[in-house]
Amino acid sequence: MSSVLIQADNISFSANGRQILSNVSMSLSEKEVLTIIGPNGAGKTTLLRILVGLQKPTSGKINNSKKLSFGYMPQKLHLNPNMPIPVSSFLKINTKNTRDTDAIMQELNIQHLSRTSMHKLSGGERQRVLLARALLRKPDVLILDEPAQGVDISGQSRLYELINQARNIHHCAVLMVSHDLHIVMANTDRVICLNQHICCMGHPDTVSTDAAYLSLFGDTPSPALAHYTHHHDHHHDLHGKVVDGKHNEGCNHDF
Amino acid sequence: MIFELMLPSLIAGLFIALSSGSLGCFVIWRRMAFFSDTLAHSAILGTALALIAEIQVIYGLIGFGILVALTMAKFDNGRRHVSSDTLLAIIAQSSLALGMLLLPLTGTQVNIEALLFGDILAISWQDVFITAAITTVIVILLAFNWSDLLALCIDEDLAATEGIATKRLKLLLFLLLVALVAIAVQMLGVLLISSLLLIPAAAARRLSHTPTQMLCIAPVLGMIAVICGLALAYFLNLAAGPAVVVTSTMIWLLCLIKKSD
Repeated sequence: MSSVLIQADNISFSANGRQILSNVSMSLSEKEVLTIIGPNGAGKTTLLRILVGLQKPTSGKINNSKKLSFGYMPQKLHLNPNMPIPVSSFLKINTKNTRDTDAIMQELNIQHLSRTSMHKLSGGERQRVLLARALLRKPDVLILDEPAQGVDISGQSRLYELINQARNIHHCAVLMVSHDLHIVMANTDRVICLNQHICCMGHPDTVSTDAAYLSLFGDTPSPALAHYTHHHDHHHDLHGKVVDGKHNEGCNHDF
Repeated sequence: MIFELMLPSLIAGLFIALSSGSLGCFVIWRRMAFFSDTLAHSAILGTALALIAEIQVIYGLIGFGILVALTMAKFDNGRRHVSSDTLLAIIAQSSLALGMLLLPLTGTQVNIEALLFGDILAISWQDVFITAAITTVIVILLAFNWSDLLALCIDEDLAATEGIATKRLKLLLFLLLVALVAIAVQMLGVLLISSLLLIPAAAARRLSHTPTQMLCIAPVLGMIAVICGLALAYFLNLAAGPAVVVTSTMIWLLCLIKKSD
Protein backbone atom coordinates (compact mmCIF):
# COMPACT_ATOMS: atom_id res chain seq x y z
CA MET A 1 0.00 0.00 0.00
CA SER A 2 1.23 3.50 -0.79
CA SER A 3 2.04 6.01 1.89
CA VAL A 4 -0.50 7.73 4.12
CA LEU A 5 -1.34 11.35 3.26
CA ILE A 6 -3.79 12.24 6.01
CA GLN A 7 -3.94 10.63 9.40
CA ALA A 8 -6.75 11.84 11.66
CA ASP A 9 -6.81 10.65 15.27
CA ASN A 10 -9.80 10.84 17.60
CA ILE A 11 -11.41 13.86 15.98
CA SER A 12 -14.32 15.25 17.96
CA PHE A 13 -16.34 18.31 17.16
CA SER A 14 -19.19 19.96 18.97
CA ALA A 15 -20.93 23.25 18.31
CA ASN A 16 -23.57 25.02 20.37
CA GLY A 17 -23.65 22.16 22.83
CA ARG A 18 -24.38 19.61 20.11
CA GLN A 19 -21.96 16.78 19.51
CA ILE A 20 -21.39 16.48 15.79
CA LEU A 21 -18.39 14.16 15.62
CA SER A 22 -17.01 11.93 18.31
CA ASN A 23 -13.67 10.15 18.23
CA VAL A 24 -13.36 9.74 14.50
CA SER A 25 -10.06 8.20 13.44
CA MET A 26 -9.29 7.63 9.80
CA SER A 27 -6.54 7.80 7.25
CA LEU A 28 -6.23 8.50 3.56
CA SER A 29 -3.47 7.04 1.43
CA GLU A 30 -1.97 8.19 -1.83
CA LYS A 31 -4.24 7.62 -4.84
CA GLU A 32 -6.90 6.07 -2.66
CA VAL A 33 -10.60 6.73 -3.24
CA LEU A 34 -12.40 6.97 0.06
CA THR A 35 -16.11 7.59 0.33
CA ILE A 36 -17.84 8.76 3.46
CA ILE A 37 -21.49 7.85 3.62
CA GLY A 38 -24.05 8.47 6.31
CA PRO A 39 -27.49 9.93 6.95
CA ASN A 40 -28.23 13.67 7.07
CA GLY A 41 -26.66 15.34 10.05
CA ALA A 42 -24.11 12.57 10.47
CA GLY A 43 -21.29 15.12 10.38
CA LYS A 44 -19.97 14.19 6.93
CA THR A 45 -19.51 17.76 5.74
CA THR A 46 -18.08 18.80 9.10
CA LEU A 47 -15.49 16.03 8.88
CA LEU A 48 -14.47 17.17 5.40
CA ARG A 49 -14.23 20.78 6.54
CA ILE A 50 -12.02 19.74 9.43
CA LEU A 51 -9.78 17.64 7.19
CA VAL A 52 -9.21 20.54 4.75
CA GLY A 53 -8.61 22.93 7.61
CA LEU A 54 -11.73 25.08 7.26
CA GLN A 55 -12.71 24.21 10.82
CA LYS A 56 -10.75 23.32 13.91
CA PRO A 57 -11.74 20.11 15.72
CA THR A 58 -12.78 20.47 19.36
CA SER A 59 -10.33 17.73 20.17
CA GLY A 60 -8.17 15.29 18.28
CA LYS A 61 -5.24 15.64 15.93
CA ILE A 62 -4.68 15.64 12.19
CA ASN A 63 -1.29 14.75 10.80
CA ASN A 64 -0.60 15.35 7.16
CA SER A 65 2.41 13.66 5.63
CA LYS A 66 3.46 16.98 4.05
CA LYS A 67 1.90 20.31 3.25
CA LEU A 68 -0.94 18.99 1.13
CA SER A 69 -2.68 20.91 -1.60
CA PHE A 70 -6.40 20.33 -1.59
CA GLY A 71 -8.79 20.54 -4.50
CA TYR A 72 -12.04 21.25 -2.73
CA MET A 73 -15.46 20.96 -4.29
CA PRO A 74 -17.97 22.41 -1.84
CA GLN A 75 -21.48 21.09 -1.45
CA LYS A 76 -22.93 24.33 -2.66
CA LEU A 77 -21.39 27.36 -4.29
CA HIS A 78 -22.92 30.53 -2.86
CA LEU A 79 -22.72 32.52 -6.06
CA ASN A 80 -24.08 36.03 -5.85
CA PRO A 81 -26.35 36.80 -8.82
CA ASN A 82 -24.97 40.32 -8.79
CA MET A 83 -21.60 39.11 -9.92
CA PRO A 84 -21.33 38.59 -13.67
CA ILE A 85 -19.05 35.63 -14.09
CA PRO A 86 -18.49 33.38 -17.08
CA VAL A 87 -17.01 29.92 -16.61
CA SER A 88 -13.65 30.97 -18.06
CA SER A 89 -13.22 33.76 -15.47
CA PHE A 90 -14.28 31.45 -12.70
CA LEU A 91 -11.61 28.95 -13.68
CA LYS A 92 -8.86 31.50 -14.24
CA ILE A 93 -8.99 33.04 -10.76
CA ASN A 94 -5.82 32.10 -8.96
CA THR A 95 -4.61 30.05 -11.87
CA LYS A 96 -1.58 31.44 -13.59
CA ASN A 97 -1.32 28.89 -16.33
CA THR A 98 -4.01 29.26 -18.98
CA ARG A 99 -2.71 26.16 -20.81
CA ASP A 100 -3.72 24.11 -17.77
CA THR A 101 -7.16 25.66 -17.82
CA ASP A 102 -7.66 24.75 -21.48
CA ALA A 103 -6.40 21.21 -20.95
CA ILE A 104 -8.65 20.58 -17.98
CA MET A 105 -11.68 22.08 -19.67
CA GLN A 106 -11.06 19.67 -22.51
CA GLU A 107 -10.56 16.75 -20.15
CA LEU A 108 -13.91 17.42 -18.46
CA ASN A 109 -15.63 18.31 -21.70
CA ILE A 110 -16.63 21.84 -20.75
CA GLN A 111 -14.76 23.90 -23.41
CA HIS A 112 -18.05 24.86 -25.00
CA LEU A 113 -19.18 26.44 -21.71
CA SER A 114 -16.22 28.83 -21.55
CA ARG A 115 -18.26 31.97 -22.18
CA THR A 116 -21.44 30.79 -20.45
CA SER A 117 -22.44 32.55 -17.26
CA MET A 118 -21.92 30.50 -14.12
CA HIS A 119 -25.49 31.35 -13.18
CA LYS A 120 -26.87 29.55 -16.21
CA LEU A 121 -25.21 26.17 -15.83
CA SER A 122 -27.22 23.02 -15.28
CA GLY A 123 -26.54 20.91 -12.20
CA GLY A 124 -24.21 18.54 -14.02
CA GLU A 125 -22.36 21.31 -15.84
CA ARG A 126 -21.84 23.23 -12.64
CA GLN A 127 -20.39 20.18 -10.87
CA ARG A 128 -17.98 19.58 -13.75
CA VAL A 129 -16.86 23.23 -13.65
CA LEU A 130 -16.31 22.94 -9.90
CA LEU A 131 -14.34 19.76 -10.46
CA ALA A 132 -12.21 21.57 -13.03
CA ARG A 133 -11.50 24.36 -10.56
CA ALA A 134 -10.50 21.80 -7.94
CA LEU A 135 -8.19 19.99 -10.39
CA LEU A 136 -6.51 23.24 -11.42
CA ARG A 137 -4.99 23.39 -7.94
CA LYS A 138 -2.92 20.32 -8.90
CA PRO A 139 -4.20 18.74 -5.72
CA ASP A 140 -2.68 15.93 -3.72
CA VAL A 141 -6.16 15.27 -2.43
CA LEU A 142 -9.42 15.91 -4.20
CA ILE A 143 -12.11 16.63 -1.62
CA LEU A 144 -15.64 16.34 -2.98
CA ASP A 145 -18.68 17.17 -0.90
CA GLU A 146 -21.64 15.37 -2.46
CA PRO A 147 -20.41 15.82 -6.02
CA ALA A 148 -23.45 14.09 -7.51
CA GLN A 149 -26.11 16.30 -6.02
CA GLY A 150 -28.38 18.01 -8.51
CA VAL A 151 -27.16 15.67 -11.23
CA ASP A 152 -29.50 13.18 -12.84
CA ILE A 153 -28.75 9.51 -12.44
CA SER A 154 -27.07 8.92 -15.80
CA GLY A 155 -25.09 12.13 -15.37
CA GLN A 156 -23.97 10.86 -11.99
CA SER A 157 -22.32 7.78 -13.37
CA ARG A 158 -20.59 9.91 -16.03
CA LEU A 159 -19.44 12.32 -13.32
CA TYR A 160 -18.02 9.46 -11.27
CA GLU A 161 -16.24 8.18 -14.36
CA LEU A 162 -14.70 11.62 -14.80
CA ILE A 163 -13.61 11.73 -11.16
CA ASN A 164 -12.05 8.31 -11.53
CA GLN A 165 -10.34 9.34 -14.74
CA ALA A 166 -9.08 12.54 -13.10
CA ARG A 167 -7.59 10.51 -10.29
CA ASN A 168 -5.69 8.40 -12.78
CA ILE A 169 -4.47 11.38 -14.81
CA HIS A 170 -3.56 13.65 -11.91
CA HIS A 171 -2.47 10.97 -9.45
CA CYS A 172 -4.41 12.37 -6.55
CA ALA A 173 -6.28 10.75 -3.70
CA VAL A 174 -10.03 11.28 -3.61
CA LEU A 175 -12.06 11.82 -0.49
CA MET A 176 -15.74 12.25 -1.09
CA VAL A 177 -18.98 12.46 0.78
CA SER A 178 -22.13 10.91 -0.51
CA HIS A 179 -25.43 9.63 0.70
CA ASP A 180 -25.92 7.56 -2.41
CA LEU A 181 -24.22 4.26 -1.69
CA HIS A 182 -24.83 2.26 -4.82
CA ILE A 183 -23.33 4.48 -7.48
CA VAL A 184 -20.37 5.61 -5.42
CA MET A 185 -19.40 2.10 -4.53
CA ALA A 186 -18.42 1.25 -8.08
CA ASN A 187 -15.25 3.36 -8.07
CA THR A 188 -14.32 3.57 -4.46
CA ASP A 189 -11.55 1.67 -2.67
CA ARG A 190 -12.84 2.08 0.82
CA VAL A 191 -16.04 3.30 2.45
CA ILE A 192 -16.51 4.86 5.83
CA CYS A 193 -20.01 4.78 7.22
CA LEU A 194 -20.34 7.76 9.51
CA ASN A 195 -23.03 8.70 11.96
CA GLN A 196 -21.26 11.06 14.38
CA HIS A 197 -18.89 8.18 15.00
CA ILE A 198 -17.54 5.68 12.49
CA CYS A 199 -20.11 2.87 12.27
CA CYS A 200 -18.05 0.69 10.02
CA MET A 201 -15.28 0.95 7.53
CA GLY A 202 -14.01 -1.23 4.76
CA HIS A 203 -14.20 -2.31 1.16
CA PRO A 204 -17.54 -1.64 -0.53
CA ASP A 205 -18.53 -5.29 -0.67
CA THR A 206 -18.04 -5.78 3.01
CA VAL A 207 -19.75 -2.57 4.11
CA SER A 208 -23.06 -3.24 2.46
CA THR A 209 -23.45 -6.47 4.38
CA ASP A 210 -22.17 -5.09 7.67
CA ALA A 211 -24.80 -5.14 10.39
CA ALA A 212 -24.11 -1.54 11.42
CA TYR A 213 -24.73 -0.36 7.87
CA LEU A 214 -27.87 -2.40 7.47
CA SER A 215 -29.36 -0.96 10.63
CA LEU A 216 -28.78 2.55 9.27
CA PHE A 217 -30.01 2.19 5.73
CA GLY A 218 -31.99 -1.00 5.96
CA ASP A 219 -31.64 -3.97 3.68
CA THR A 220 -31.74 -2.16 0.28
CA PRO A 221 -34.61 -0.17 -0.72
CA SER A 222 -36.32 0.91 2.44
CA PRO A 223 -40.12 0.59 2.34
CA ALA A 224 -40.55 4.29 1.57
CA LEU A 225 -38.34 4.08 -1.48
CA ALA A 226 -38.49 1.95 -4.55
CA HIS A 227 -36.33 1.41 -7.56
CA TYR A 228 -37.67 2.81 -10.76
CA THR A 229 -36.35 0.83 -13.67
CA HIS A 230 -35.94 2.87 -16.84
CA HIS A 231 -36.49 1.19 -20.13
CA HIS A 232 -34.32 3.44 -22.25
CA ASP A 233 -33.37 2.42 -25.73
CA HIS A 234 -30.77 5.19 -25.87
CA HIS A 235 -28.40 7.03 -23.63
CA HIS A 236 -27.27 10.64 -23.25
CA ASP A 237 -23.88 12.17 -23.83
CA LEU A 238 -22.38 14.84 -21.60
CA HIS A 239 -24.36 17.63 -23.22
CA GLY A 240 -27.65 15.86 -22.59
CA LYS A 241 -28.01 14.95 -26.25
CA VAL A 242 -29.53 11.60 -27.07
CA VAL A 243 -26.99 9.27 -28.57
CA ASP A 244 -27.59 5.94 -30.26
CA GLY A 245 -25.62 2.91 -29.40
CA LYS A 246 -24.63 0.83 -26.46
CA HIS A 247 -25.32 1.71 -22.89
CA ASN A 248 -22.78 3.20 -20.57
CA GLU A 249 -20.94 0.94 -18.22
CA GLY A 250 -22.77 2.65 -15.41
CA CYS A 251 -26.13 1.27 -16.53
CA ASN A 252 -27.24 -1.89 -14.91
CA HIS A 253 -30.83 -2.21 -15.95
CA ASP A 254 -32.24 -5.13 -17.91
CA PHE A 255 -32.17 -3.86 -21.45
CA MET B 1 -22.61 79.90 -7.20
CA ILE B 2 -19.28 80.59 -8.76
CA PHE B 3 -17.65 77.92 -10.87
CA GLU B 4 -14.33 78.25 -9.07
CA LEU B 5 -16.02 77.32 -5.81
CA MET B 6 -17.29 74.16 -7.46
CA LEU B 7 -13.92 73.09 -8.84
CA PRO B 8 -12.48 71.46 -5.68
CA SER B 9 -15.72 69.55 -5.10
CA LEU B 10 -15.83 68.42 -8.72
CA ILE B 11 -12.31 67.01 -8.51
CA ALA B 12 -12.91 65.49 -5.07
CA GLY B 13 -16.18 64.04 -6.37
CA LEU B 14 -14.43 62.35 -9.27
CA PHE B 15 -11.94 60.73 -6.91
CA ILE B 16 -14.76 59.63 -4.59
CA ALA B 17 -16.63 58.14 -7.56
CA LEU B 18 -13.48 56.24 -8.54
CA SER B 19 -12.99 54.65 -5.15
CA SER B 20 -16.66 54.16 -4.28
CA GLY B 21 -17.45 52.66 -7.69
CA SER B 22 -14.75 50.03 -7.42
CA LEU B 23 -15.29 49.35 -3.73
CA GLY B 24 -19.04 49.27 -4.38
CA CYS B 25 -18.65 46.19 -6.59
CA PHE B 26 -17.19 44.28 -3.65
CA VAL B 27 -19.89 45.62 -1.35
CA ILE B 28 -22.52 44.24 -3.69
CA TRP B 29 -20.73 40.93 -4.28
CA ARG B 30 -20.22 40.32 -0.57
CA ARG B 31 -23.67 41.61 0.35
CA MET B 32 -22.21 44.28 2.59
CA ALA B 33 -24.68 47.05 1.73
CA PHE B 34 -26.09 47.11 5.23
CA PHE B 35 -22.62 47.11 6.67
CA SER B 36 -21.48 50.13 4.67
CA ASP B 37 -24.65 51.97 5.63
CA THR B 38 -23.93 51.32 9.30
CA LEU B 39 -20.40 52.59 8.86
CA ALA B 40 -21.74 55.76 7.24
CA HIS B 41 -24.27 56.40 9.99
CA SER B 42 -21.63 55.96 12.65
CA ALA B 43 -19.67 58.79 11.04
CA ILE B 44 -21.93 61.25 12.91
CA LEU B 45 -20.67 59.92 16.20
CA GLY B 46 -17.13 59.91 14.82
CA THR B 47 -17.49 63.58 13.90
CA ALA B 48 -18.89 64.49 17.32
CA LEU B 49 -16.10 62.63 19.11
CA ALA B 50 -13.47 64.34 16.96
CA LEU B 51 -14.92 67.77 17.77
CA ILE B 52 -15.02 66.97 21.49
CA ALA B 53 -11.44 65.72 21.43
CA GLU B 54 -10.52 68.77 19.34
CA ILE B 55 -8.78 66.77 16.64
CA GLN B 56 -9.21 66.92 12.85
CA VAL B 57 -12.62 65.49 11.91
CA ILE B 58 -11.09 63.04 9.44
CA TYR B 59 -9.01 61.44 12.21
CA GLY B 60 -12.16 61.03 14.30
CA LEU B 61 -13.96 59.48 11.35
CA ILE B 62 -11.17 57.03 10.61
CA GLY B 63 -10.52 56.21 14.27
CA PHE B 64 -14.13 55.58 15.17
CA GLY B 65 -14.78 53.84 11.85
CA ILE B 66 -11.96 51.38 12.53
CA LEU B 67 -13.51 50.65 15.92
CA VAL B 68 -16.89 49.90 14.30
CA ALA B 69 -15.23 47.82 11.56
CA LEU B 70 -13.32 45.71 14.08
CA THR B 71 -16.51 45.14 16.05
CA MET B 72 -18.31 44.00 12.91
CA ALA B 73 -15.38 41.77 11.90
CA LYS B 74 -15.66 40.06 15.27
CA PHE B 75 -19.32 39.27 14.72
CA ASP B 76 -18.83 38.13 11.15
CA ASN B 77 -19.02 34.38 11.55
CA GLY B 78 -17.54 33.43 8.22
CA ARG B 79 -19.92 30.96 6.68
CA ARG B 80 -22.76 33.43 6.28
CA HIS B 81 -21.51 36.64 4.72
CA VAL B 82 -23.63 39.04 6.63
CA SER B 83 -23.36 39.83 10.27
CA SER B 84 -26.67 40.03 12.02
CA ASP B 85 -28.68 42.79 10.41
CA THR B 86 -30.29 43.58 13.74
CA LEU B 87 -26.92 44.25 15.29
CA LEU B 88 -25.93 46.44 12.36
CA ALA B 89 -29.14 48.44 12.65
CA ILE B 90 -28.64 48.92 16.37
CA ILE B 91 -25.11 50.22 15.83
CA ALA B 92 -26.23 52.48 12.97
CA GLN B 93 -29.21 54.01 14.72
CA SER B 94 -27.67 54.40 18.14
CA SER B 95 -24.46 55.98 16.89
CA LEU B 96 -26.52 58.37 14.79
CA ALA B 97 -28.65 59.27 17.82
CA LEU B 98 -25.73 59.50 20.20
CA GLY B 99 -23.83 61.65 17.73
CA MET B 100 -26.77 64.04 17.49
CA LEU B 101 -26.92 64.28 21.29
CA LEU B 102 -23.20 64.95 21.59
CA LEU B 103 -22.91 67.53 18.77
CA PRO B 104 -24.39 70.45 20.76
CA LEU B 105 -21.91 69.72 23.55
CA THR B 106 -18.90 70.18 21.29
CA GLY B 107 -19.05 73.95 21.52
CA THR B 108 -18.57 74.19 17.76
CA GLN B 109 -21.33 75.42 15.51
CA VAL B 110 -22.15 72.36 13.39
CA ASN B 111 -24.30 72.40 10.29
CA ILE B 112 -26.43 69.29 10.85
CA GLU B 113 -27.88 69.36 7.36
CA ALA B 114 -24.39 69.39 5.85
CA LEU B 115 -23.47 66.43 7.99
CA LEU B 116 -26.52 64.46 6.85
CA PHE B 117 -26.64 65.39 3.17
CA GLY B 118 -23.23 66.83 2.40
CA ASP B 119 -21.95 70.31 1.67
CA ILE B 120 -19.74 70.68 -1.37
CA LEU B 121 -18.89 74.29 -0.73
CA ALA B 122 -17.05 73.23 2.40
CA ILE B 123 -14.60 71.17 0.34
CA SER B 124 -11.21 72.83 0.31
CA TRP B 125 -8.16 72.13 -1.82
CA GLN B 126 -6.63 70.44 1.18
CA ASP B 127 -9.63 68.07 1.25
CA VAL B 128 -9.06 67.37 -2.43
CA PHE B 129 -5.49 66.30 -1.75
CA ILE B 130 -6.54 64.03 1.11
CA THR B 131 -9.31 62.55 -1.06
CA ALA B 132 -6.86 61.95 -3.89
CA ALA B 133 -4.32 60.34 -1.59
CA ILE B 134 -6.84 58.01 0.07
CA THR B 135 -8.40 57.10 -3.28
CA THR B 136 -4.98 56.18 -4.59
CA VAL B 137 -4.40 53.92 -1.62
CA ILE B 138 -7.83 52.28 -2.02
CA VAL B 139 -7.38 51.65 -5.74
CA ILE B 140 -3.83 50.32 -5.32
CA LEU B 141 -4.86 47.94 -2.53
CA LEU B 142 -7.85 46.70 -4.51
CA ALA B 143 -5.72 46.16 -7.60
CA PHE B 144 -2.99 44.44 -5.63
CA ASN B 145 -5.44 41.99 -3.99
CA TRP B 146 -7.79 41.74 -6.96
CA SER B 147 -7.72 38.02 -7.66
CA ASP B 148 -7.77 37.04 -3.98
CA LEU B 149 -10.66 39.42 -3.32
CA LEU B 150 -12.52 38.01 -6.29
CA ALA B 151 -12.03 34.47 -5.02
CA LEU B 152 -13.30 35.60 -1.61
CA CYS B 153 -16.43 37.12 -3.17
CA ILE B 154 -17.16 33.99 -5.19
CA ASP B 155 -16.95 31.55 -2.31
CA GLU B 156 -15.24 32.03 1.00
CA ASP B 157 -14.70 28.32 1.70
CA LEU B 158 -13.24 27.68 -1.71
CA ALA B 159 -10.92 30.65 -1.28
CA ALA B 160 -9.81 29.45 2.15
CA THR B 161 -8.94 25.96 0.91
CA GLU B 162 -6.93 27.52 -1.89
CA GLY B 163 -4.72 29.10 0.72
CA ILE B 164 -6.12 32.62 0.61
CA ALA B 165 -6.05 34.53 3.91
CA THR B 166 -9.77 35.26 3.94
CA LYS B 167 -9.85 36.87 7.38
CA ARG B 168 -7.21 39.39 6.43
CA LEU B 169 -9.00 40.20 3.17
CA LYS B 170 -12.35 40.73 4.87
CA LEU B 171 -10.74 43.10 7.31
CA LEU B 172 -9.08 44.90 4.41
CA LEU B 173 -12.46 45.47 2.75
CA PHE B 174 -13.88 46.79 6.03
CA LEU B 175 -11.00 49.21 6.49
CA LEU B 176 -11.14 50.45 2.91
CA LEU B 177 -14.83 51.21 3.48
CA VAL B 178 -13.90 53.17 6.59
CA ALA B 179 -11.46 55.22 4.52
CA LEU B 180 -14.06 55.83 1.84
CA VAL B 181 -16.66 57.00 4.35
CA ALA B 182 -14.10 59.39 5.80
CA ILE B 183 -13.47 61.08 2.46
CA ALA B 184 -17.04 60.97 1.14
CA VAL B 185 -18.91 62.30 4.16
CA GLN B 186 -18.24 65.95 3.31
CA MET B 187 -19.59 65.68 -0.18
CA LEU B 188 -22.55 63.34 0.34
CA GLY B 189 -23.32 63.38 4.04
CA VAL B 190 -23.79 60.27 6.15
CA LEU B 191 -27.20 59.47 4.69
CA LEU B 192 -26.17 59.46 1.04
CA ILE B 193 -22.73 57.82 1.03
CA SER B 194 -24.07 54.31 0.45
CA SER B 195 -25.85 55.41 -2.70
CA LEU B 196 -22.62 56.23 -4.53
CA LEU B 197 -21.26 52.85 -3.44
CA LEU B 198 -24.24 50.79 -4.52
CA ILE B 199 -26.00 52.52 -7.40
CA PRO B 200 -23.11 52.80 -9.91
CA ALA B 201 -22.06 49.22 -9.15
CA ALA B 202 -25.62 47.94 -9.53
CA ALA B 203 -25.92 49.79 -12.83
CA ALA B 204 -22.57 48.42 -14.00
CA ARG B 205 -23.81 44.89 -13.32
CA ARG B 206 -26.30 45.27 -16.15
CA LEU B 207 -23.59 46.25 -18.61
CA SER B 208 -20.92 43.69 -17.82
CA HIS B 209 -20.20 40.04 -18.50
CA THR B 210 -17.13 39.60 -16.31
CA PRO B 211 -16.18 40.83 -12.84
CA THR B 212 -13.33 42.90 -14.31
CA GLN B 213 -15.70 44.70 -16.66
CA MET B 214 -18.03 45.50 -13.79
CA LEU B 215 -15.15 46.82 -11.73
CA CYS B 216 -14.10 49.13 -14.56
CA ILE B 217 -17.56 50.32 -15.56
CA ALA B 218 -18.87 51.18 -12.07
CA PRO B 219 -16.38 54.02 -11.38
CA VAL B 220 -17.02 55.48 -14.84
CA LEU B 221 -20.78 55.55 -14.19
CA GLY B 222 -20.11 57.10 -10.79
CA MET B 223 -17.99 59.82 -12.41
CA ILE B 224 -20.69 60.56 -14.97
CA ALA B 225 -23.16 60.89 -12.08
CA VAL B 226 -20.84 63.30 -10.26
CA ILE B 227 -20.26 65.48 -13.33
CA CYS B 228 -23.93 65.60 -14.36
CA GLY B 229 -25.14 65.95 -10.77
CA LEU B 230 -22.84 68.85 -10.01
CA ALA B 231 -23.76 70.48 -13.33
CA LEU B 232 -27.44 70.22 -12.41
CA ALA B 233 -26.70 71.65 -8.98
CA TYR B 234 -24.72 74.48 -10.55
CA PHE B 235 -27.21 75.50 -13.21
CA LEU B 236 -30.45 74.84 -11.31
CA ASN B 237 -29.09 75.85 -7.91
CA LEU B 238 -29.85 72.48 -6.29
CA ALA B 239 -28.28 70.70 -3.34
CA ALA B 240 -25.21 69.01 -4.80
CA GLY B 241 -25.13 65.70 -2.89
CA PRO B 242 -28.77 64.80 -3.57
CA ALA B 243 -28.38 65.93 -7.19
CA VAL B 244 -25.47 63.50 -7.68
CA VAL B 245 -27.42 60.64 -6.10
CA VAL B 246 -30.55 61.27 -8.17
CA THR B 247 -28.41 61.41 -11.30
CA SER B 248 -26.84 58.06 -10.51
CA THR B 249 -30.31 56.62 -9.96
CA MET B 250 -31.29 57.90 -13.42
CA ILE B 251 -28.24 56.14 -14.87
CA TRP B 252 -29.26 52.94 -13.08
CA LEU B 253 -32.79 53.21 -14.46
CA LEU B 254 -31.35 53.65 -17.95
CA CYS B 255 -29.24 50.54 -17.47
CA LEU B 256 -32.32 48.57 -16.42
CA ILE B 257 -33.56 48.90 -19.98
CA LYS B 258 -30.77 46.63 -21.09
CA LYS B 259 -31.73 43.00 -20.73
CA SER B 260 -29.59 41.37 -18.09
CA ASP B 261 -27.56 38.37 -19.16
